[in-house]
Amino acid sequence: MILSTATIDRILDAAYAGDADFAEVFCEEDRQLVLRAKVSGTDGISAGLVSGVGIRVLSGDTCRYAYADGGNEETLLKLARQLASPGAPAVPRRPLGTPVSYGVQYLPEPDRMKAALTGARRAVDAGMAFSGEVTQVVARLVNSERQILVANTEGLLAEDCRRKTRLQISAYAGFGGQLQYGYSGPGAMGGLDYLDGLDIEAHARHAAEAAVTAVHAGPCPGGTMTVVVGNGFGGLMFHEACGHSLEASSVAKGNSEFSGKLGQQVASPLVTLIDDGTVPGQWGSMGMDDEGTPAQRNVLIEKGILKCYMADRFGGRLMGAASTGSGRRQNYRFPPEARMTNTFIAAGESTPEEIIAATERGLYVGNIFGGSVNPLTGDFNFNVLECRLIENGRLGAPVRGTTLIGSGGEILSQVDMVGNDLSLGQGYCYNNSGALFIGAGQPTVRVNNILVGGER
Amino acid sequence: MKKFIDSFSAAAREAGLGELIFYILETHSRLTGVSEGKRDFLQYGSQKAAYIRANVNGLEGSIFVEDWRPSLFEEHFRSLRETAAAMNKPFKACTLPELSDPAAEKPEFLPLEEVTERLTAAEQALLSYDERILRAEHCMLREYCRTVTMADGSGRTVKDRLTGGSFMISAVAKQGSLARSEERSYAFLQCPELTELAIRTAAGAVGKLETAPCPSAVVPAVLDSRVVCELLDAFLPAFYQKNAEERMSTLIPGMTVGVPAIRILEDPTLPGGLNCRRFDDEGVPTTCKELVSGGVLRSMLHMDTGNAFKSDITADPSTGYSNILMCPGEKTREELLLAMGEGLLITGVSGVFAGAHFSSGAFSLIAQGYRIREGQRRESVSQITISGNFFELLTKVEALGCDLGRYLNPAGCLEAPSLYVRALSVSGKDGIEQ
Repeated sequence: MILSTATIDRILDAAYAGDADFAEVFCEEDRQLVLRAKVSGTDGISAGLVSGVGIRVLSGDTCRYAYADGGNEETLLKLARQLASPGAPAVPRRPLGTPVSYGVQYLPEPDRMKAALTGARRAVDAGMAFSGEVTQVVARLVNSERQILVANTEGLLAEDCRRKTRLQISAYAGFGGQLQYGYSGPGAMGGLDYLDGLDIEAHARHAAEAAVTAVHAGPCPGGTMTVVVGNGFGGLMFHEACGHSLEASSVAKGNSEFSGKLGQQVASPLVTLIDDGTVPGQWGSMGMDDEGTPAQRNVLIEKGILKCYMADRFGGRLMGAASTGSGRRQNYRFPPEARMTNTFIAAGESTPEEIIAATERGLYVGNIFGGSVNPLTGDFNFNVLECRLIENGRLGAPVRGTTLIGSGGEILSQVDMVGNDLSLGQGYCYNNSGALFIGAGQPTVRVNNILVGGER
Repeated sequence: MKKFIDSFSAAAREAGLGELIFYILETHSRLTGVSEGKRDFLQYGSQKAAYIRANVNGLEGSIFVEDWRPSLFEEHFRSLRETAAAMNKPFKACTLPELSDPAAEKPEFLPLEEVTERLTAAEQALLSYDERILRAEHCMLREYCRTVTMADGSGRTVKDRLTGGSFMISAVAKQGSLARSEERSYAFLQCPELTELAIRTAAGAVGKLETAPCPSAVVPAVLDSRVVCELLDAFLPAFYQKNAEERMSTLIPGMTVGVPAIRILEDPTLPGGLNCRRFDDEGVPTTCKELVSGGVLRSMLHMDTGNAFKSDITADPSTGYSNILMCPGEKTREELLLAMGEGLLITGVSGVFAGAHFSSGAFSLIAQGYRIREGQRRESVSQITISGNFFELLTKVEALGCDLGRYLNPAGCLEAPSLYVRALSVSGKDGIEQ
């Protein structure tokens, strides 16, 4: 790691002064590889080492933060002194304790580049072979070997090793002067050996098929309708609709529609919502959070009853709650905030076939591309792909991607069928503490009265 | 920095690597936040990172580096060799232009106490605007100084410096059980008067408290300049030559992409532009380019003609832009509304990153705004979506405003006027009071 324990001690001593009641040093080394392949060959490579230090000082309800890349002690001490206020702290800090290690220590992977290149090329070849209407396939391989260390004035000294690999496949299809798009993006907490067990060709064909289907599909009708969202990354609907509104940064200042509703019925009794950073091998998992608190499983909503919020140290302090292992940041350039890890709806009892058969008219959504939410109002939106109309209890004609909007509170109460086919998908979540790897999942779920933004 | 370049270059030569080109980004920033009359957040940032391209036996290798320790040089050299082999493309040599260095060497931020006072005054102005204002949120000022230095390892260097900042503030208004928020971000070169911007934000939140239902229909609409900027940003990759060559964009020079009044420029020397650059991230001098004039696509953006930019320090250069300008028209926004008479004013959209696809031109976005009757702003509408095809939308423009909104992102800056379009597809909750 870029800083020795002695240097960390000196930085904590410099930062923890005057009105400070907590100080923390966050160190990071992240060996990143991003490789992009297209039909024409390898299109771009970004390889290197993200390395830096963040220093945080808390004083009551105020936060001061500084960061610098590299590990230059002089620079870091100067920043620490900028954050400090004059005088001695009211309570002396505790000496750093015995280091606690999470994750698996690893050695740099041999042939890292070759494995990445081979995986990306396989995706491009399989996607292009799917149909003559496929005009382009872009395969983006992301591999990260990240070591973080957290030390604070409460004596914590903890480190985590995280290895992440993801293959994002974008396929484009053309017909009649139009282009449409399909996507698949599997990923895991693991090294490049994750690709060995991954059916890359199946994912590439899935993306290509989605693009080809969309380019022949008609526009989606607009208006309020019943929507069946397929399993997997469809769970992003609940990530947006209510997950963000349960994060301390929204709840602490009363900026969430769920503020002050612990113990109340906020969703259909069919809904149990869980955030779990401990799921083995999942993209959104980690050994500890970015404040050194062990990752944990948090049941947020159980059978419709609001059970807990997600809290980091500072957000938890503002709302009088302990950390739930949810303090996360993209890298050392961001102070941590409470964020989701792997968030999913627990499985129910219906089969996906039963749910579709029970729906006379509506929209089936096979995949979700992305979305956002205003936690205050709960107003959310998400863009969906791989859609089909449901007519007389059967899947009908495909329609082009569209946007679903609504309010989190409303959607939670409008869930009336939950499937038994739970699975998780992988993605990124963007917010104040940066872009984070997250898992989002659900079984097939039916929701009534969602507003569909259509063109006809 | 010079010491690092010299020592890295010497070690690289010994390791058998050829010509090196350094792209070095130095960023100093400060973020100050105020809540309830006191400073509650303060952040200092200091970054000095390098992106290095190397000639590896005629092939191009590249890495990014944030840790300058010589003990890591061997690891960097290995990465350069690996990336060169994987990319398998010829090394792109670079002749840096002769440019004088920018004047100021050190960032000059406003005194911290002055920033705190100005933010506190802005927060107070927002809170005092109307009794229905519940609270202010995210009242923050970011200041930055970014210096891009390119060096070819033989002693020649060239520099660009960007200084500026942005003011962020949110207002929460409440009436009965209905709460509405307005979030604004104002990017600047010189810090403006903040209280006026805070009052505008407060007015936006209060304006949303008088609501009306919005049925699904195709209606005339005025798109606020900030909305136009966001849409233009989402669809700009369709103007990249490489995307057209790789069959990810259907645009071809000579095709009509808008009404004759539409003119779009890429202008790296735009007066007052927030992202003026004299050379791109491969060291090629930048020039002004006319992308669209008379509504016809005239040219596309190429990497080789001064439009190779990095989205961040870790990324390899790809097609990008400095300042994109959609040239304004002559009517004020009020005149656009009067000309429209009946319709919608769209003041905000969300989820553009997912709901707008440059390759197809399609967009489907949650939106908010106001009903317009007799050319006047009436009740607010929310929980609606707008959808269509961006390039078709530009062919339905009736008039361009004389206002210019700004949208600054890591890729560059966009400026565009408000647009009055004769037909926009809107989906809403028919008959449901919001």
